[in-house]
Amino acid sequence: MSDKIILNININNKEIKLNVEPRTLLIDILRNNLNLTGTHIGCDTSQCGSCMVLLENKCVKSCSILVAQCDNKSIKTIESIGKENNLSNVQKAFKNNHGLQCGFCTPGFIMSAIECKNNKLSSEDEVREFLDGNFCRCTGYQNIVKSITSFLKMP
Amino acid sequence: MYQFEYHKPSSLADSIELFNKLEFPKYLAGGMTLIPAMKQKLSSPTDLIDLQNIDELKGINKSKDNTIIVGAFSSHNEIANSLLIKNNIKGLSYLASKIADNAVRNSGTIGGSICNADPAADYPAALLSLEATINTNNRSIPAKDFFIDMFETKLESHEIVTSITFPIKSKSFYLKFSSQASKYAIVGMFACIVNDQLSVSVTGAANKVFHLEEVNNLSLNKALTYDYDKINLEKMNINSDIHASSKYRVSLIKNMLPKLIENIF
Ligand SMILES: Cc1cc2nc3c(=O)[nH]c(=O)nc-3n(C[C@H](O)[C@H](O)[C@H](O)COP(=O)(O)OP(=O)(O)OC[C@H]3O[C@@H](n4cnc5c(N)ncnc54)[C@H](O)[C@@H]3O)c2cc1C
Ligand code: FES
Ligand code: FES
Repeated sequence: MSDKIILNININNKEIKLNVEPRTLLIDILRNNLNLTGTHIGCDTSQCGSCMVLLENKCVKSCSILVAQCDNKSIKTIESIGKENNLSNVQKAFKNNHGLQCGFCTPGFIMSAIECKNNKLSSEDEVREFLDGNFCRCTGYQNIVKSITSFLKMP
Repeated sequence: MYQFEYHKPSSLADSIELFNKLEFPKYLAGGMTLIPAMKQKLSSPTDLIDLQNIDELKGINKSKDNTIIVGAFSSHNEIANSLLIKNNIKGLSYLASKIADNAVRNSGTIGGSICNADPAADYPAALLSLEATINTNNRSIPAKDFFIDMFETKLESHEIVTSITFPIKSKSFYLKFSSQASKYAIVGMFACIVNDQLSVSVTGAANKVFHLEEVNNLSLNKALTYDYDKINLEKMNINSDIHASSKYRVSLIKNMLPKLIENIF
């Protein structure tokens, strides 16, 4: 067996010390060890974006990155974005615009929406191009785009 | 995933020393090709040597001799958003902005892309057309000698690409017809102007990137009125695969050329 490695990662604003096998993927630590199951595994092959999280405030696909690559960095998952009784603006925008149906893809889209806002995108065309790496099997995307463009207009 | 050891050296020298000591190691950059390949057991190194802490591979700078030097660890998004590249080699930043999707562009690097030498990757077209030079830990290789075949480059197994040197070209453009699923090029063409003459390279269409010799010596004016239909691509061994037949690719090349050239200006 490979030697375990010790990592220090800031996950959802908490410093966490991990002792993991080198082969551990970020998604596995989040879901299996930290019980952060809001981040979903869809394709498991870096195509669909349902496993997206923010690494140093930029979207990455957590099914295709080793947790070892995240040592001394910060991760944000959907659990840090808002609470059921205290939704953040981006979640309110999805709720108000009917931006989800089954919700499986939604945590990934929320991460892309946040990076859209950080990158100061504004037009619908820019948003559509930005969402290239997020797949949704339910909504037909129209209301997701509406949700995100309305979030971009919020303060 | 199966077991392997992980190393994160902080210098180029340490990385190479480690590589030479280990059984079947591989360097890890953005991991956007390597990690999915390992998950599918298409690649099974005993050790990964993560290059993320090596400062010599980072940064995008202008040198005194009018070239732009792009560190191998620069991500596709860093290249797409770099003002230095936008202002000096517009086509290159545009090309980077069309690779994969945003999350892949945040992680994937130019060094990883060219070392992997996927025949459908985008950067090789820019490197060849712009006559870029690939710098490694111990030598410099012109782009025309670097790409040998599908997934095969001139690199020795322990060799590390440190940076790519691009000559500044005020006029350049990239046009790609991509696979809708992956965004890889079915045909991708990069054009720039060298000494008032056109330089066009094609990726995605054959086993490796190639120069479109027939149009490469044309002056700008001639290029705009050239009959692209008469270009002969028989020698180039254009690929047929699930994405497109060779006939379709040939037609794409001929039909994309006018738009490519109009957009250089
Ligand atoms: C969904 C998806 C879509 C994609 N679409 C496109 C696309 O449209 N166009 C495109 O061009 N690419 C595309 N790619 C590939 C992407 O650009 C990868 O980022 C790139 O091919 C590999 O770069 P990396 O930094 O991730 O390298 P890694 O995966 O870390 O490494 C790739 C290989 O290069 C070696 N290596 C890495 N860096 C060095 C170095 N400095 N010196 C020596 N060897 C090194 C590694 O050992 C490995 O063998 C796509 C990938 C995905 C997952
Ligand atoms: S599960 Fe990671 S991209 Fe689909
Ligand atoms: S809401 Fe069901 S997959 Fe997007």
